[in-house]
Amino acid sequence: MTGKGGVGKTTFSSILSIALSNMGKEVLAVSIDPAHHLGDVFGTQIGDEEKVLAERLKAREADADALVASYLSRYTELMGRLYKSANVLNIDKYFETLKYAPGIEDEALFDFLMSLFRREEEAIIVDTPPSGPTLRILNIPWVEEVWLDQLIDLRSKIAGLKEAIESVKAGKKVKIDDRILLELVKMREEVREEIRNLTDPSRFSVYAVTTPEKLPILDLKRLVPELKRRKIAVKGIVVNRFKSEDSTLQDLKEEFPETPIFLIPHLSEKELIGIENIKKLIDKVRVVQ
Amino acid sequence: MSSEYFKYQSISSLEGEYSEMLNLFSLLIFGSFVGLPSPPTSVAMRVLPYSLEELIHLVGKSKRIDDQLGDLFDILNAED
Repeated sequence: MTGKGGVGKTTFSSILSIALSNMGKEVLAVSIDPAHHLGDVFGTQIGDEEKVLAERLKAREADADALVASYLSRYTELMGRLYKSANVLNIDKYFETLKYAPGIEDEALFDFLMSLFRREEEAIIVDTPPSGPTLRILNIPWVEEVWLDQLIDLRSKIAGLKEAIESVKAGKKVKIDDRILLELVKMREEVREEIRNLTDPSRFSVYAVTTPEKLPILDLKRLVPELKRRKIAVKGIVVNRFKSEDSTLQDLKEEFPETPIFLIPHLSEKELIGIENIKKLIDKVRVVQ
Repeated sequence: MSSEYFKYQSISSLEGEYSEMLNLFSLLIFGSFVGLPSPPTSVAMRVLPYSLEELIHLVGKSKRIDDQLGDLFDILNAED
C-alpha cells in the first residue's frame, strides 16, 4: 500500500487485511512506515512483535531501529570472527557510525520486505511509508544489479591478474578462488531472485492510494508509471474520502483505463477505528472499472 | 639469471597493475564510508568480511597519499 502521506494507506491496509481474513485466508498485516498507525486504526496497541487481532489475522509494526541493528549485526558477527587481528583498522568504529549512514534504513527495510516472501501466510499486507521513500526502497535491487554487473567485471580482471602473478611465481598454472568474486556473484543471483519476486504479479503487487485532491493525484500520476516501468503490478487505485463522482474520478479512469479503482467513502474518524467498524466499512467500498 | 630477471620484471609489472586495480575496486566498494558516490551500502557490507587485504591496501595507499612521487617511481621502476 503506498501513496502520498495521510491519504489513507493504513485505512485501506486494514480494510484489505480484514476482508481477506474473512474470506478464509491467513493474513499478516505489517507496517514498515516509521510513522506507524496500524495499531491506531485497528484500535489496539501493536508493537514489534506479531499480535493476533482476529481469527486468521496477525499484525506487526516493524521497528526500523531494530531492523537496522539486526541487519548490521549479521556482518559485525562475521567480521569479529574473520578479522581477529584487524583491530588496528578500527572496523568496529565504522560500524558504530554506519547505522546512521544514508540509505542504511532503506536497505534494512528492503531486507525485511524480502524476508516476507519466505513467510507461510497466504496474504501479507504491507503498509509502507509515503510514495517517495517507498519507491526508493523498491528500486534497491535494480540499482544493486547495475553495480554488481560492473563490480563483477572489474573483480574478474583483478582475480585474473592475481592468478597470473601466482602462476608466474610458482612456475605453473595456479587456480585461485576469489572469495569476494564468489560473494558478488552469489549476491547478484539473490538480487535477480528479488527482482523476479517483485515483478511476479502472483507474488507482489501494489495498491496506490489517493484522495480526490490535486496534490495526492499528481503524486499518484508520478508513482504508478514509475512502478509500471519496473514491471511491478499495480493491482488497484484506491480513492479514499470519496464524496461524489466528478471530474477527478473521470480523470483517473482515463489516465489508468485498465486499473480497478476502489472508492472508500468519506467517514468520520470514529467510524474508521476498531476491527468491528472496519468490518462494516468493507461493504461500503465500491469498485469501478 | 636472465630468466629470473624477466620473471621478476613480469611479476613487478603485474603487481603494479594489480595494486592499482585493487585500489580502484576498494574505493568503489568502500568509498561511501568516506562520502564518495558508491554502490548501495549492502554491496560493501556483503564483501566486507572478506576484504581484509583490500582494506589494508586502501589504508596503506591513504598513508602514502603525500608521497605520490614515490608511488609513481615505484611503478616506473617496475616498468624499466
